[in-house]
Amino acid sequence: MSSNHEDTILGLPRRPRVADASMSTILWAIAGGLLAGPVGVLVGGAAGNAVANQRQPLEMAIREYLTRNGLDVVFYYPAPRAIKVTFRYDPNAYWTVESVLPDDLQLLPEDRDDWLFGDLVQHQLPDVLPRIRRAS
Amino acid sequence: MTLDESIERLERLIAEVRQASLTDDKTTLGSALALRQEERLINEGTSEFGVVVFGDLNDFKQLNDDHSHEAGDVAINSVGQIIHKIAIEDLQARAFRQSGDEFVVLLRQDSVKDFLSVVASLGSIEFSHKGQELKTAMSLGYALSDGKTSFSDLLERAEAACQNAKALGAGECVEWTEDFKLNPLVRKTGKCRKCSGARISWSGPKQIAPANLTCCPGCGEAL
Repeated sequence: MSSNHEDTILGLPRRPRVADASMSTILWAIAGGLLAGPVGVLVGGAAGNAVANQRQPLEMAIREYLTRNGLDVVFYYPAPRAIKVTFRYDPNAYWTVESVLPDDLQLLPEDRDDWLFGDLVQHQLPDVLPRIRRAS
Repeated sequence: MTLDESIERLERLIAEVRQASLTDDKTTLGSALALRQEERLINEGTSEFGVVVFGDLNDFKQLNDDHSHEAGDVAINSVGQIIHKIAIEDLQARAFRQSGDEFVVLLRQDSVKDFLSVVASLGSIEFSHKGQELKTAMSLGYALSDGKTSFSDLLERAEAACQNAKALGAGECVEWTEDFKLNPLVRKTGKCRKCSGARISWSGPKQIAPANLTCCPGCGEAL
């Protein structure tokens, strides 16, 4: 398997690092318990750098990606080998996208999360976004 | 970390957990736990709210079955947004999702008229999911506190009134009266084999309820 230091996995983009997230997403992740300890992340130092260099937790990475695209995550449905996200793109309009790890693909948890993120942003969302843009 | 810092951190964590447990996970309304807290105040006679409103989505199971659970969640979220606007923002009421598709609103007695004037907006809630235009609706019932009735009895009355409201149609809100005790409503459901398995339901007074649904009102087919 490709190294976690590379930015892609099986041709798909890996999750961005915590340092690349917006402050609002970092605060949201801390409040939600996805990131441990606000002090290290916000103030910096050795502990802060370690957290900042980690890849974003999957839910945080997806939320950050969709928010940057002007979409509001409403529901997040995690499963061991899949992820489903419902987002709002207009006040009363929603869409659910899903990424499922193929049965024959065995990955370590970190790589699995990277693959699900990469598949979602590279394959699933690009299928949907043009339709959403046309509809809204 | 000093002991004081540890205690302060623990208190912050407790406050966060507490806040999360009082907020519903599918809407911006209060959770079932938050409702239980308000229930205690009502039972002690220290709550400012004297009206219990109960509502659930009409044919919610069918929406889930026909369009997926995600569409059902979106329906709940959409309804939550409207209740938040008409009850919490406009009337300073409190609103909760009790469980599934069941919502409870607590109103001050002087807000009932205003609530009834806007409740029709819950009769047709349109939203789209995955490009499909969908609709959901609610009917509601309410019970006024007389200072002697417990919250659970008020809620039971509001639920009975809600069943009567469903018989009248979507967006209706019915006040509980003593008559409901004498003429309880029953609901019968069935499926038509001819109309692609369409669900059929009948609501009405127990005295005239059919033992079974025998005929589909859509096509006249015997069930």
